[in-house]
Amino acid sequence: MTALVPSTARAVGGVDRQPKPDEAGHIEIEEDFGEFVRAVLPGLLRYGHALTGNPHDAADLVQGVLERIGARWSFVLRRTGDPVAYARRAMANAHVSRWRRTRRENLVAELPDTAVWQPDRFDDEPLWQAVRALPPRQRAVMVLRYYEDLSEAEIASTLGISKGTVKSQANKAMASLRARLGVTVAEGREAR
Amino acid sequence: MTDNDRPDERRPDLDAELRRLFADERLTLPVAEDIENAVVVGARRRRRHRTTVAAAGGVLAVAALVFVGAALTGIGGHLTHTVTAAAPPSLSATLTTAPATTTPTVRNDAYLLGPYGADGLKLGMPAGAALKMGYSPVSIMGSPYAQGKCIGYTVYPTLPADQDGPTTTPPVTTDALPTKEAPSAARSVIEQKLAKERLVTVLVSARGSIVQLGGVTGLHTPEGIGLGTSAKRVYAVYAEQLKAAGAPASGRSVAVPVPGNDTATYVFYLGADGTVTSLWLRSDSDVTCQ
Repeated sequence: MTALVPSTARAVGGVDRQPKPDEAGHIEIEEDFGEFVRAVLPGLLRYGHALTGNPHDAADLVQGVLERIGARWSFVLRRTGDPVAYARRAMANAHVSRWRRTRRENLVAELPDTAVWQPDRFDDEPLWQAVRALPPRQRAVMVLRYYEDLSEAEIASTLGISKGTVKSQANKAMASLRARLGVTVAEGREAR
Repeated sequence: MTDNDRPDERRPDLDAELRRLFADERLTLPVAEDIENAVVVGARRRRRHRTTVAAAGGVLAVAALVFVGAALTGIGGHLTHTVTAAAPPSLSATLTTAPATTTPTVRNDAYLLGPYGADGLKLGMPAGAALKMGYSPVSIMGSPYAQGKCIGYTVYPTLPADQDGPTTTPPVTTDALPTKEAPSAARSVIEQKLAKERLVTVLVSARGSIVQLGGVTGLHTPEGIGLGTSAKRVYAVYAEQLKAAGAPASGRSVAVPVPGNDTATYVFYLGADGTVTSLWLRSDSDVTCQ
């Protein structure tokens, strides 16, 4: 019997389809947010692709971050001058911290993908493969530096880490990239 | 180990290569048609969840009142012979029929996941039948995907079955599914968006039958578990089933034998904050995706 009560509670609090009076104001906000989403999606997906290294995680990341932003859209508009920049920073952070919290198999289990997912069009790009192989935080530092053109200090404040850590992560990342690209790059363009 | 002592050996070439890489057009991804809606709906869900949590006490109180009110209405109706249900006035009959006589709860039948399926979709049903019933495959991410030997599709009813309330009381018949009668143009934007909260992801086996459905969806189980429900609540609500199954009460997902269906399992995935982030109804009897 008691099981019916939570069910009813949800019906009342959650999925009643009648727009309530206080919902009316949100319709306009939602439409505004919808416009924003439409406008920024391509750019954010691309950025997410760079951050996460694959289309699926990119879509996942973008969706999650945008939903959180949309849930407090008027606040974000009021408090941040530039919601796009805000979204990008949020994505960098979410990417790094999500990776720390949850492991990959969890994401896969939740939204199964893999095998028949769109073939990765970067497969023939050694540098892309090397970047993808970096740990998330190192990759985020690379993306913020070379995609976003942020300074060390800006990267530090975006990711909430010290400048020293930014520097060391960048150095490690560059060293890994060089090591991975050793054969192709050193023997090719980078031969002195 | 060498955190700070390694000099920055960046060579201009690698810098330039990285800038070139991140400017590469191939990083661009196609935007799926429906992702905007999915995002807007997801944002609304989060906002409401926040509001709901903040007002949880109040909501529960209101729920209790509505519940009692509904039960009273049911009993009263029976006594005055106006209720259509021919059930005897036993307590359980009253409890199960009473909510169905009130408009708000009737609408929610379409939001149930389990015990056999969701809306018109049922475990074991051929995937083609779902399309015939009016479910359109949309893909939030751009294309169908594979899990093992199964193919996953995200689907939604082309028109919500329950927009007009009580006429759709039977939850799982083809009648409850979209027909051409309802002019879609007349529906408000918000209704259309809300309808998509019923997005369901189905996994279809190599044999072509639905073996799993759910995902990140606005649906909830008959026991009231949906997105955002706390793990604690999941364990409490399904304590009996979990105990019977001897399932461990920890981890990133919780598998619960479905009450009322011996051949299916609910799988709730939990996010880092300990709430349900996706929910599935999985068939135990059909072939698996492996």
